[in-house]
Amino acid sequence: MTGAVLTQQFFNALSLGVMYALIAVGFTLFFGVIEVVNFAHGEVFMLGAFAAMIASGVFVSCGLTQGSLLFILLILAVVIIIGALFGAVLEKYIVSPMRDAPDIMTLLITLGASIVVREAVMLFVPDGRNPQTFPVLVEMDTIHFGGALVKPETLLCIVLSIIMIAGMHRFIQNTTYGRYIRATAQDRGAAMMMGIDVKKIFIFTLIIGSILGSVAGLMNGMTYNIIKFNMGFAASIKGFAAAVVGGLGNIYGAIIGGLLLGFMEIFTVSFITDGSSYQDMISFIIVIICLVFRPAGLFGEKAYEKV
Amino acid sequence: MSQIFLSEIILYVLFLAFIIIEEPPLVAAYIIAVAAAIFYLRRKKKDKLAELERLYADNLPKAGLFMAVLALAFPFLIGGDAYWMQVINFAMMNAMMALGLNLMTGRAGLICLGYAAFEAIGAYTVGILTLKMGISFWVAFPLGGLFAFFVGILLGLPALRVKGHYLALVTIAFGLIVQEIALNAESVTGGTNGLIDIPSPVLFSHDFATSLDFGFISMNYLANFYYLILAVLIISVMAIYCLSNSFFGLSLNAMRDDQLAAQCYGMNLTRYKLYAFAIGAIFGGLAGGIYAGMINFIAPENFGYGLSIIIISMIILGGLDSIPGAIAGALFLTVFPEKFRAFEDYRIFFYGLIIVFCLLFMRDGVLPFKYRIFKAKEAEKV
Amino acid sequence: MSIIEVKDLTIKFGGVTAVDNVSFALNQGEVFGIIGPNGSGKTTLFNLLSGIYKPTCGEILLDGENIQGLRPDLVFRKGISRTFQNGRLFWNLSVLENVMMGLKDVREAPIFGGLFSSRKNKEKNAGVIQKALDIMRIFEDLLISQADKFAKDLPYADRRRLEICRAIAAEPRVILLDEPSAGMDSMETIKLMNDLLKVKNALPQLTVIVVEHDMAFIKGLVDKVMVLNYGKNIAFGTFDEVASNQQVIDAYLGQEGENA
Repeated sequence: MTGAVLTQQFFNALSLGVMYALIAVGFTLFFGVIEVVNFAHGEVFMLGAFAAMIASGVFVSCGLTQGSLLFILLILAVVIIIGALFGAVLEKYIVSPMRDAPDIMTLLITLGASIVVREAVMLFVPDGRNPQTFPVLVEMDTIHFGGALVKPETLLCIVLSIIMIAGMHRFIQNTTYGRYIRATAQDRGAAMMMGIDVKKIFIFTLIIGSILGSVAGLMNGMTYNIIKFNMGFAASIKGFAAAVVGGLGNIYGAIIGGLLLGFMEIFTVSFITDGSSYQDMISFIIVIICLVFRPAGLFGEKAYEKV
Repeated sequence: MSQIFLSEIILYVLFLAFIIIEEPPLVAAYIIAVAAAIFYLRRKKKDKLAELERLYADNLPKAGLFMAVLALAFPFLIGGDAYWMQVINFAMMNAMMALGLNLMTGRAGLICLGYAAFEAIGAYTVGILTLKMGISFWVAFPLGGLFAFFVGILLGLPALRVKGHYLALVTIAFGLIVQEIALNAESVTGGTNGLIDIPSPVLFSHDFATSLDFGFISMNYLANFYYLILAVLIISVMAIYCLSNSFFGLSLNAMRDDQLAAQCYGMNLTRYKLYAFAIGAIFGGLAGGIYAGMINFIAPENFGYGLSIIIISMIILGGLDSIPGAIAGALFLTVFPEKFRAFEDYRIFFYGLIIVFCLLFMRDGVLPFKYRIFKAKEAEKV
Repeated sequence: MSIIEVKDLTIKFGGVTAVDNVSFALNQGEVFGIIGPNGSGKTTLFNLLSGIYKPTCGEILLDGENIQGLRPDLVFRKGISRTFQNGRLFWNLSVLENVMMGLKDVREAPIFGGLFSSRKNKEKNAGVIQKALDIMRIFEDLLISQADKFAKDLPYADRRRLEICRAIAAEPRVILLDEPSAGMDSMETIKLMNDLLKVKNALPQLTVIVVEHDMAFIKGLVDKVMVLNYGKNIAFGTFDEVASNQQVIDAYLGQEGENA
């Protein structure tokens, strides 16, 4: 394997990794703050991609130039709004009614919600059953990196995710609401006693996590050009896996977990003969091994159950 | 006593009518009417229902026997109609799986989102043993259940270390891995193409692929399988009922309610979790074995994640930890989509809606069975 | 020889030493109180004794046998049973079934035993139910009259009673009661104290360790008291000795400048 190919694979792995990281951060936020695992999280990823595709069609027919800055920003805005809406609706109508139910119920209802959303897209988007071609949003030449060919979308995605993650980091660390979120994650009861409206924080958390997820979906569309109604399933499993590897509840762990998973997948595909048929299996096996031997994740501390 | 027979006959007739009516608007009206009746009964006639439940619990052998007799007559009543026979056979196989899953998820509280894998294991065991090794179906069939039992233990091993959400992930991964293995191990499993021409079972030189002749009426070959599945289902129900209501089943319930407290009260969680998975898996394996013998063709796509979800939605609709609920859920959710074949695509969408609606508005399911078997008065009886 | 002996028991969570070099020894039949301010490591000590946490170092001897590091179910089988601070009953089991879960017969029943449901089996079940009912008789009719209710439908005070019943059903050598009066008003607390005295009278051989906040409760019940503060044993003795100890008073009232 030449250096050029290696560089190329490095960029592929990086873009896949940051995408997983964005999804994983959502999982980890939900778990840390609301103590739920949102199995519908993959669907926001799919919705983000579909929203971008449909919006692009609408904007082009409205006369906007493809690839112009306004065009891209508008699409990004649509994706973010869809993500936020999805998160808010999910919290209000699916997650919060289950607050006092056993964990298993919350889990099952988000699972049910994910099926409904996924199938609805298949049924109600024209020709939704088949893979859709994602429109080219930015037309740029392939970039040469010392012999390696890197798609501009790949770079754009990496930059976009870094901006998203940095933005979220700043939000959580430096704003009042961010502080509230951290406080709620640490001790819900105490946060409530300090006058924090925990219900609002829950909605907020789901909105933030879902926005990250929908943007990841947009990036997926841009990088691979093909989207399908069931793309959320694999994404949610892998995002969850990455979050678990990093230690559920640990945001930075989730980012590292995502990158780890991305690199592992790309490099199994390119180094192992016939690796692509094992691509998905790799992540599952990693997760199971991780869960069994380091249940708190690679970076998590050993959890002590409250008695 | 007569109340039991009467209620059973009513349910039976309702089910029969459900099979016979064909027009989608009529079916819809029918379902709405029955649902309304159920709501009414559960809201306004709570005491009557509780009393009926108690009656059933006290006279279980008789009630079960009568139900079995009714079930035996079923193929005659639909005149051996091949299509509906096929649907009912599937419904009963699903009921077996729902019962197995219910033992894991309902009774023991261990979530499993990869249950279809156990059916795959039973089906492939029977397929490979009968097709490639020429072993009799009657040997391969229980072996399929046994193999599923051991794979259940295998799945239980990582499950020992993880709880709740993590367990959901592990079981999804498990289901997908089993499917991937079936896809990739081409020399054994036939890969994507699956196994074709799996031989039908032969019992006392009666080939199950030939029609079942009663003298006065000759029924499609599916009737053979109807009676086979019915027999296995009845045995499964009895086994699961006895297990659920033994001290073992009680312990599983305790573990579901509070794992830590159960452990502090001397339960070896390892042992109970492994057994819950393994015993629950048997029924998936058995259902898979019959599937292979009946359909004669199996492929990995038959045992995907979707099937696992369907089985889960059956036990949620019926009510977690309810044996009659699991059976009713399986019967309804298998027959219902057949009524709307024009809307075939909406099937999974509909299952998703069922899960969400049940959990939001009817958390106990349609047929919750809250009756506890260990009662204070039992002590005085003996 | 003492029935339970704890030597230099220590556990650290990250940098925090939750239980720090605690030692004590109890004779059979004694009632031992552990008191201390919130977060002083009382419940953690219980979790160590019942095997939920593994100690960083130290020893726990039950009747001379080293049991530290054993899993909770094994500790339980050795003869230590416990209740929980926030009440951890099996909520969707009936009251009777909760008590049955403490019984050896249920725990050691063969897994497939129920498959052969015969007359004999039924008699066995009836025997076990009778046993559970006999245990519930400690509280006269209070629990027996509600035996077929779900545990979650019990009134608060009866839940506590049920927990105690479940714990003694196991015929333990040592029973750990974690704040049995938590959340009760003073009337209920007095009633509970009398109930516990009843249990103690019925089972004089039973060693009881009780964690409590309520001083009157402890005073009326225990033979010896230990005071924990920041995980350390700061006083040990009879209630009156401990109550007059200056360190204990400081710990409870807060030293100037330390607990601002």
